[in-house]
Amino acid sequence: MEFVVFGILTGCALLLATVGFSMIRRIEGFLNVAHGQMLTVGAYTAYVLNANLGWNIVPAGVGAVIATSIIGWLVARLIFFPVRRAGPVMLVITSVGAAYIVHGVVEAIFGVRVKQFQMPPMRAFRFGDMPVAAPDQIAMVVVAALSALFLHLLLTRTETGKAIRAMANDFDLARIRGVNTSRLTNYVWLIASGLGGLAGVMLGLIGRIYTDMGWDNIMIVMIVAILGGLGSIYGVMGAAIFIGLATSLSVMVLPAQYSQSIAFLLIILVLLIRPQGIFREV
Amino acid sequence: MPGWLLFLSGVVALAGIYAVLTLALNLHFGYGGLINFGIVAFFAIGGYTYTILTMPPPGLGEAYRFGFGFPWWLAFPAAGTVAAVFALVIGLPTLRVRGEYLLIVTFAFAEVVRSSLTNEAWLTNGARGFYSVVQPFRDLMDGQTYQVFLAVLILAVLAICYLVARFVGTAPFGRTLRAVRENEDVALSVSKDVYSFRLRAFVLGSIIAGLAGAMYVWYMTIAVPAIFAAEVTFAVWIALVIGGTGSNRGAILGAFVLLGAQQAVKFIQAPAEMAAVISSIQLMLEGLLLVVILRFRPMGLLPEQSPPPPRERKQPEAERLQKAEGI
Repeated sequence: MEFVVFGILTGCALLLATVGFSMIRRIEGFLNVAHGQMLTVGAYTAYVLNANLGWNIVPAGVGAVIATSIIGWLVARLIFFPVRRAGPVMLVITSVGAAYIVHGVVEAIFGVRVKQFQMPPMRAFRFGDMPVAAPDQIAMVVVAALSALFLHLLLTRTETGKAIRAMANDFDLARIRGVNTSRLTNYVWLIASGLGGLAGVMLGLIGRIYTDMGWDNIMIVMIVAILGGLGSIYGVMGAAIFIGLATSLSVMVLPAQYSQSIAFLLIILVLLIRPQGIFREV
Repeated sequence: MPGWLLFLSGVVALAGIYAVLTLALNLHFGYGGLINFGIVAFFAIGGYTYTILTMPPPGLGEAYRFGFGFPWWLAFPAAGTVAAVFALVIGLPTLRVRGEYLLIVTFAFAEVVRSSLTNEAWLTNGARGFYSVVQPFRDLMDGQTYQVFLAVLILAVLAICYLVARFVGTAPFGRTLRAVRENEDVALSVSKDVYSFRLRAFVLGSIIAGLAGAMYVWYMTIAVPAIFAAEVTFAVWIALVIGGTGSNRGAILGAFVLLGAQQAVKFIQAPAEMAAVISSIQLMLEGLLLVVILRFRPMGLLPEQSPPPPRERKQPEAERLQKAEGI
C-alpha cells in the first residue's frame, strides 16, 4: 500500500514537472534539459523560506513557485532567446550549459549537503487498521490535481489559453492572426518554470532536497514525455502517474536500483510499438 | 625528468583521449546528425571491457567473478567490438525515429549503464571498481618515462582515428551521410537507405568511443563508475561545439582547448574546504563557455567545410559529344 501512495505522489510531482517540459517543447520546439534545474531551484527556494526564515511550508511553497517562475523566465530571456535562430539542436545543447550554470550556482550557494524541510510530525489517516496516507501527502495530491485542472481550464476556457494552443499548433499562423506570440511565450516560460518549482517542492517533501535532484529527474521527465507523446499535454498527465506507479511498484518485484532500467525498457518498447506516444496529441 | 614535462604529458594524454571521443561524437552528430547524449555509455563500455578482459582472475574477497588476464593487444580491439555490439542493439530500434527520441534514449542508456556499473558487482566489482589496470608496454620503462610514452601512444591512436574519420568523411559514405543529415527526403529520393547509413555511422562512432574508453583506463589506471559520469558526455559536446560540428580538426582543437582550460582552473590557489565549490564553479564556467560560443560563434572555431567534389573521371559531356560528332 505504501508503494501505491508513494507511486501516486511521485507521479504527481512528475506530472507537474513534465507538463511544463512539454509546454516548452510545444512552443519553443526543443527539449529543455535545464527544466530539471527548476525543480532544484524550487526546492531550495522553499527551503530557504521554510528553514532559514521560519515560514510555514505552505507560504514557503507558494513563494518558491513564484520565485522559480521568475528565475526560469530570466534564464530563458538571457540564455535561450538569443540562441533561438541557431535551431533546436543548438538550443538543447545550450540548455545543458544553462543547466550546469544553474546547478553550479545552487551548489556554490548551498554546498552539497542533503537538506530537509522543517515539518511538524503528522499522523497518517487510517482505514481500518491500515495507515493510508498522511495529511500532507493528501494535500500534495490535491495540489497537483488542482494545478492540472487549473492548467486545463486555462488552456480550454480562456482567450490566453486558446491563443497558446493555437501557437503550439502553428506558430506563424497564430502570429499572422494577431496573437501576441512574444508575450504568450513569456507566459509559457513563467507557467512551466513555476510548475517545475512546485514539482521540486513536492519532491523535497516526499524525499530529500539535494543539489543533483534536477539531474536525477530530468531523465525520467523525458521518459514520461516520450511515453505521453512528445508535446501532448494531456498525454503526459496519464503517463506521469503510470511511470510513477510502475517504478514504485516494481520495487516489490525487483531491487530498487533497477527501477530506472525498467523505465528505459519501457521507452524502447514504446519506440518499437508506438513511436508517436501512447496518447493522441491534443 | 622535469616536472613540467610530466604535467604536460598528463594534460596531453587526457586531452588526446577526449579528442578521440570528440571525433566519435563528430561522426555521430557532425556527419550523421545523430544526437547522441549518452556517448559516455560507449566510453564506459569500452573501458570496462578492456579492464575485465585484462584483469587477473579474482582473488579471495573480491566481488567480481570474471578476470581473464588477456594481454592488452587482444583486449583493446575487444573494447571497440563490444561497444559496437551495444551500439547495434541501441541503434536498431531507435534510429528509425527522428532525432529527439535518440537523444532521450541515449541519455537514458548512459544512466542505465552507469547504474549497472555500480550495481552489477559480479561483473564490475561495484562501486569499488578495479585498480592497477594493465597498461601497454608498461614493463619496458620506469614510471616517469612511461607517462611521456603514454601521451605519445595516445597521440598516435588519435592520429589514426583522425585519418579514419577524415577518410570516412570524404568517402562516398560520408558524403551520403551529410546528405542524409541535410535533407533526408532528398537522400531517400535518390534511393539511399537512410536507416542503414545512420546505423553504420552510429556503430562506427561507438567503436571509436569504446577505444577511447580503453585508453582512458590506461591513463587513469583505475576503472570505477565515478569516472564515467554524465559530465563526460557534456564535456565532449562542449568540445565539439567549441571546435565546430562537422569538422574533424575542429573536434580535436575543441577537445584540447576545453581540457587546457579545465587544467588551467587547477592552478587557482584555493583552500581545501573550497574544493567542492571550485569544482561546481568549473562546471558552471564550462556551461558559460558553451553559451558564449553558441551566442557569438555558433559555427565553432573551425567551421565545417564541404569536402572538395570528387574528381571528374570522365570528360565533360559537351566535349565528348563534340568529338563524337566530329566538330
